[in-house]
Amino acid sequence: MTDKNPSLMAGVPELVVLRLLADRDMYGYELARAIKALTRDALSIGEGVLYPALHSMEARGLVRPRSRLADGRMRIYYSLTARGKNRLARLTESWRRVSGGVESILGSTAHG
Amino acid sequence: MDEQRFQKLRGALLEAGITKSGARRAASEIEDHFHQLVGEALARGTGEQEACREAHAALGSNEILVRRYAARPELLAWPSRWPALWFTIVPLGCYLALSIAVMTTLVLGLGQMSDYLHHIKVPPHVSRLIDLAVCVIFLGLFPASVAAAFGVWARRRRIPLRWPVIGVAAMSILAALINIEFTITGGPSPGSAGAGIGVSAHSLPAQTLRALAVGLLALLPLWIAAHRAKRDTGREMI
Repeated sequence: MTDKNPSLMAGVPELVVLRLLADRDMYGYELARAIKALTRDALSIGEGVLYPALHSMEARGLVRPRSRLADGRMRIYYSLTARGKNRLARLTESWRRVSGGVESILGSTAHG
Repeated sequence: MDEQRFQKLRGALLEAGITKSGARRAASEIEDHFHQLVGEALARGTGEQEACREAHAALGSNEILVRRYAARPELLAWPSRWPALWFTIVPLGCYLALSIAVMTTLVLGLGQMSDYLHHIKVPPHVSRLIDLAVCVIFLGLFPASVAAAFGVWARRRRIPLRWPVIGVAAMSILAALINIEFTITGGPSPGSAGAGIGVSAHSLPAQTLRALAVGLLALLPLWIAAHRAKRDTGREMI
């Protein structure tokens, strides 16, 4: 794992999805809508990125899919696994460190 | 047309090496997502055609989706993840397992029938032909069939051609190195079978010819599959 210095955007879809699933189980469309709504369109993780990322997380044991009947349709809801929770904690810490570092630089150059 | 898109997506994911269940799930979830996007646009008052167009645009093209899936090794089936192993070593194992299983069955069967086989009166040339036919099955038909099956499979999975070709070459060499002797009906000990592996200066020309024959036989279906795929691609472009 390259948690010490992950490339800035590469881990974002994973971090965001894991964070949203930490609150409650969601299916793909719900996740896409939630990301748009919560970031006020600042962050748009397209469907073409979301699903491969979700299925990759499932293959790595970070999320667990469950079929559930909703609005008369069978939908795949994703929930966080214990490994997913650990991964979320590590990614959050890495992200905070990186964004804190960037903030410090932005702050210092603004003052300078 | 919309349903066709998701069927095509499933097929393209399979061809790109995604697992069967993964391709089915991905196509199904993305199709569900598409319908919800369309529903959302219709609820906003957008016309049906425009809603479909918007939804397709939001999902991106099948080509991009497939590329993103294929870029994640954890989503690939074992043959696509380890093509060198799967299409060169595994066919050899399958051939040996098949040969050993059939040989064991044959030896056990012949052992049970040895008394009976002594009494069968078969002209020597027919007896030799029977023994030869069994050898051809073991050393020609089995290796060529196994190698060809793996070759066609690799072609369908869009595995780089070098792996099945190396697999066919390895299979041809292995089959040429194996020597099998059967005496099923004739000779002093009918119902006997023996097998060995090796190469000698004396048998090298015959073994080379056998390797070439098996190789060509195994490559033929691969060549036909490649030719058909090329023709189909040409038709799609027209």
